[in-house]
Amino acid sequence: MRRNSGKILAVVISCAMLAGASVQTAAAAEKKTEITFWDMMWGEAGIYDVAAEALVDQYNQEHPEVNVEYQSVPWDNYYQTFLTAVTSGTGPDVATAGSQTPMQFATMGEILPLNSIIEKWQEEQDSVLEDMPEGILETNFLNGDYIALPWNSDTRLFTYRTDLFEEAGITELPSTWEELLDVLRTLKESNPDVFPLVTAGDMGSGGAQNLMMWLTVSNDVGPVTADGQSDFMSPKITECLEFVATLMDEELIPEATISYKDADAQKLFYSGQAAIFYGGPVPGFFEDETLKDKISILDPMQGPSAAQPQTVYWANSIAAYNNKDEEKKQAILDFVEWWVKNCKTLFTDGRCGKTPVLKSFTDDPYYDSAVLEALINEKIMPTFVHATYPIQNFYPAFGQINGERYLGSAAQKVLSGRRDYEAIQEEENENVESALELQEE
Amino acid sequence: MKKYVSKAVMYIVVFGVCFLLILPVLTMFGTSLKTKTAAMRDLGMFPSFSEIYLGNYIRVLQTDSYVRSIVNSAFVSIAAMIFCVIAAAFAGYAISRFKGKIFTGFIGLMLVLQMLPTMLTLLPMFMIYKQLRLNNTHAGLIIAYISGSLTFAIWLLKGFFDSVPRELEESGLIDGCTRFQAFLKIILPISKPGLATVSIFTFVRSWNEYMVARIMIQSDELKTVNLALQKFVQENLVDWSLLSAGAVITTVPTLFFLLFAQKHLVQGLTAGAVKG
Amino acid sequence: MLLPALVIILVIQIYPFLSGVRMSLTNYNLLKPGKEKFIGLQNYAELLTEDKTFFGALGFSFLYGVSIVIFSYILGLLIAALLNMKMKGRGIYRAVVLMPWVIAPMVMAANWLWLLNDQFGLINHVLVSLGILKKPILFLTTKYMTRFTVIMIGVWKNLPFMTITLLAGMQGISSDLYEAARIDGAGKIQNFFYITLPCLRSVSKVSVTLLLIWAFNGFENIFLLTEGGPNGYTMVLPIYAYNLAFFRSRMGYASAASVMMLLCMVILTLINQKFSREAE
Repeated sequence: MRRNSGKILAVVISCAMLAGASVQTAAAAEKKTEITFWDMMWGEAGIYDVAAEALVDQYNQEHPEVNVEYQSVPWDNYYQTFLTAVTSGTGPDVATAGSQTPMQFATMGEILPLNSIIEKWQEEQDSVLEDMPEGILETNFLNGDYIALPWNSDTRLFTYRTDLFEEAGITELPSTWEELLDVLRTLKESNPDVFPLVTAGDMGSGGAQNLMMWLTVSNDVGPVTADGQSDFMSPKITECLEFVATLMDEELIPEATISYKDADAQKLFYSGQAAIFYGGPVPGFFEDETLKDKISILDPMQGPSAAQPQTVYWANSIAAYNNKDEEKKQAILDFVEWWVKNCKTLFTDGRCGKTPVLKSFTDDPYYDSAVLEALINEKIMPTFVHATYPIQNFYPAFGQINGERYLGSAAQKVLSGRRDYEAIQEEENENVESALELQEE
Repeated sequence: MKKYVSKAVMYIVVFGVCFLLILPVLTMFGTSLKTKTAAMRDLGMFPSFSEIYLGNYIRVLQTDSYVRSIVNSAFVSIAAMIFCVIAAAFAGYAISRFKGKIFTGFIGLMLVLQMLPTMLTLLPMFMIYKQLRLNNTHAGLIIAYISGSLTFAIWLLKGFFDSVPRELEESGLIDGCTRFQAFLKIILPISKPGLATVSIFTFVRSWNEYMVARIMIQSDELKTVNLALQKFVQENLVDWSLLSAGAVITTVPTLFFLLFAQKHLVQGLTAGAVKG
Repeated sequence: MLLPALVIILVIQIYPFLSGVRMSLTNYNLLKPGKEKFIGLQNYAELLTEDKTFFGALGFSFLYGVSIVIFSYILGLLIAALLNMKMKGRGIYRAVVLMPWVIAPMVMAANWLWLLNDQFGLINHVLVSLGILKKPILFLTTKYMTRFTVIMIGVWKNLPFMTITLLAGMQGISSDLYEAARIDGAGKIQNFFYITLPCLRSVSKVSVTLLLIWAFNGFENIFLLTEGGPNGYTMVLPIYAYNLAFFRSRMGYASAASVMMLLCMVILTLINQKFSREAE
C-alpha cells in the first residue's frame, strides 16, 4: 500500500513541476529584447493600471525590436518583494517604487546608473532639463551617479472646510505655526463639537512620521545635518515636539490620534466631524457631492525658526537595475528615458494624483478641471523641499531613519503624554547616530 | 416548559456568538454596498435601502484578471488540499500504528522547521525556488502551501487514528482484509471528521495565504485572490468600497466550500461500533 | 514509501531553516553583499547583553502567544460544545463561525480598527448611547488597553481554528461512553468534564502546540493593526526581527533574534508536552 501512495505522490509532484516548466518555456519563445518593468499602483485600480499598460503598449508598438512586459507590484511590503527578487537575480530590469528604493539598491550595487541619459540631455541641451524643478534630479544622485530619474512628486497638505472657517469668522489663512494654532483655537471655540484638526498619528501607516516631517521641514531642520551628523538634539526639533504637545494639550486633535491611521482621519473629515485634515491629497474629498463646494487647501506655512514657508515632498522615480547583458543595457536606458518624457497620460488618463516632475505636463487641459491637483501646483509646489532635507539626495542612512520612523517615534512619545523633550530627543538621537554609524562601517 | 427555555437560551447564545464573530465581516459587507465616498462619509454599518450601490461589485468583476485570480486561488488551494489530505492520512496512520523512531523524528523536525518566522525564511526559500525553477509558478505555491500545512495535518490525523480502537482493524484483518484494505474501508470512514477538518484547514490556509504568494508570483495571470486585492491599495490611499466588494466576492466560494465540508464533521464513531 | 515526496518538502523547508541559522553566525548586511564574515556567537552576545528592545519584544511575544492560546482554547471549547448540540441550521452556524479565518486579513484588520474607533466606531457608539459608558474607550491608545485589544483580535482570528479542531475531536468520541454515563446517572456538566475533556486530550495537544507556535511567530495581526506601536507598546519579536532585517539591513543579527525566538518556542513546546503527558 505504501508503494502505491508513493506513486501517487510522485505523479502529483511531477505534474505540478511540469505545469511550472511549461509556463517558463512559453515566455522564452520570442526573440525580441525582453524588458521586465515593475510598476506600482500609483492610482486607482482600473484607471491607473489601464493607462500605464496602454503606455507600455505604445512603446512596444513604436519599438518593434523590444518587448516591455508590464507587471504591477503591490505596495504592501514592496521593499521586501524587490529585495528578495533582486538579491536572487530575478528582479526587474526597470522599476518604479517607493521614493528611497533606488538608493537602497544602489548601495548594494544593483542599480544601473543613468548618467549617459543625463549627459546626452546636457549635450543636446534637451528642453526636458528646463522642464524639471531645480534640484529634483539631484535627489537621486549618489556617489557620482544618477541612480534614478524622478517622474512624479508626492506631498502632504492641509485640506480645510471653508464653511467652518467662515462660521468661525476666519478670513485670513495661516502662514505660520502660531497663526495655525490660533486658527485651530478659534475653530474649537466657535464649534466645540467639531475637531479643529485630524491627522493620522500612528506608527504603522506612518501618520506620526509624516506629521513630524512636515513640521521639521517647515521649521528648517531635519534629523541629520547637511554634512551627515545627527541633528536630533537641535532646539528646532524641540519646537516641533512642543507644537505636537500643544495640539494634544489644548485638545485641538482627537485624544486617540496616536492610534489613527489615514482612514480614521479621513472618515472624520468626510463625515463633517473635523475642520482640517492633514495627510496625503485625497481626490475623493473633491469628488464628494456634499464636500466639494466647501473645501480647499491651506497655504504653505513656516515654523518659528524658518525664514520662509517650506513644504516637504518626496521625489518618486524610475530606475534601471543591473544587467549583465550589454546589448540589453541600451534598450533599458532607452525605455527609461522614453518613460520619463512620455508619461503624461499617467497623470491625465491614469489620474495618478501626484505632481508631475515635468512642468509642461500641467499645461494639459486636464488640469483645468482637476481642482485638487491644480491647487497643489499653484499653492504648494513652489515651496517644495525634499524629504531628505537638509541633505539634497537620498543618502544610505535615510533608509533606516525614515524606515524605522525615528521622527514619528519622537512624536508618538509626546502624543502618549511624555513632555521630557530632551530625554526623548536623546533617545532618538542615539538611534539616528547608530543608523549613521551602521551605514559608515 | 423547561426544555423550551433551555432551547431558547441555546439559540440566543448561538446567535450572540455568531454575531460577535462576524461583526467585522458585516461592516465589510456594508462597506461594499456603499459608493466610494459614502463608505467614508456615512458611518452606519449598512447603507439605507435606497442608497445601496452595486457598482463596486460590477467594477471588481470587470477589473482585469480578478476572476482569473479566483480560479487561480481555487486551483492552488484544492491541489494543496488534496495532496495534503492524502499524504497526511498515510503518514498519520503510519505514525499512529507503527510508532517508529523515524516517523516521530520526522514529525518533530517538521514542527521545529515551522518555528522560524516566515518573513525571514522567505529570502533563502526564494533562492532554492529559483534553483528548482519554481518561482513564478503555481507548482511552487502549491508546494509551499503543502509544506506549511502538512505538519498539522499529519499530527491531527495521527490523533484521530490513535483514538480508533485497534480491535476494529484487527477484526478486519481476521476477516481476510489486507492492512491497506482495512485502512481504506474501516479506518478512513470512521475518521471522516478528522479528514474534513484537515481539508478545511489546508484549503482555507492556502486560500488566504499572502506573504509567500507576494514574493513568488509576478505574472498577472498567475496571481491569487489576495494578491489581486492589493490592486485596490495605493501608497497612501485605499479604495475601501472596492476592496470590500473584492473581499466579499472572494469569500463566497470559500463559504460554499465550508458549508459543504462541515457536513462531514459528523460523528465518526457511532454507538455500538466498538464491541466490548 | 511516502518518503520521496516528503523528502522534497523537507528539503524545501530545511534549506531556508539552515541558511537562517548559518546567517545568524555572520555579520551579513543586505546593503553590503559579498562582505559577510563568520563572527561566531557575537550576534547572540549583543542580543543578550545590549539589546533592550529585544527583551521587551520577547516579553510581550510570550504574553501575546500564551494569552491567545489560553483564551482561544477556553472559548473554542465552549463554542465547539455549543455547535455540537442538535439544533436547526447547525451547518450554517458552523460555517459562520469559521468566517474570521477566511477573509483577507488586511480587510479584517481595517474593519476592526473602524469598529473600535473612539469617535465613530460602532462599539463605542453603542456603549455610549446605551449609557453604559460615559466616555468612549480608547482601545488602541494606552499601553495595557492596546495590548489587550491586539490580543483579543488575535483570539478572534484564531478561534475558528481551535473551534473546528475541537469540534472534530468531539465527533471522535464514541456515543457509547455517553450512553454508559447516562445509565450511571451523570449530568451534562459531569459528562463534559469526565468524558469530553479527557477524550479531547490528543487533539488538544496538537492544536495547542501549533497555535502556540503560530501566535508566538505571528507577524501579520499586529503588523496590520499597530505595526508594534503606539510607542512600541505592542512590539513583538517577529516585527522587531523584520525591522532589523529590512530597515537596518542587519540580516545576520535579525536571524540571530529569530533563532533565539525558536529556542524559546522549543522550550515552550516541551513544557506544553510535559504538562499534557503528566495529565495523562
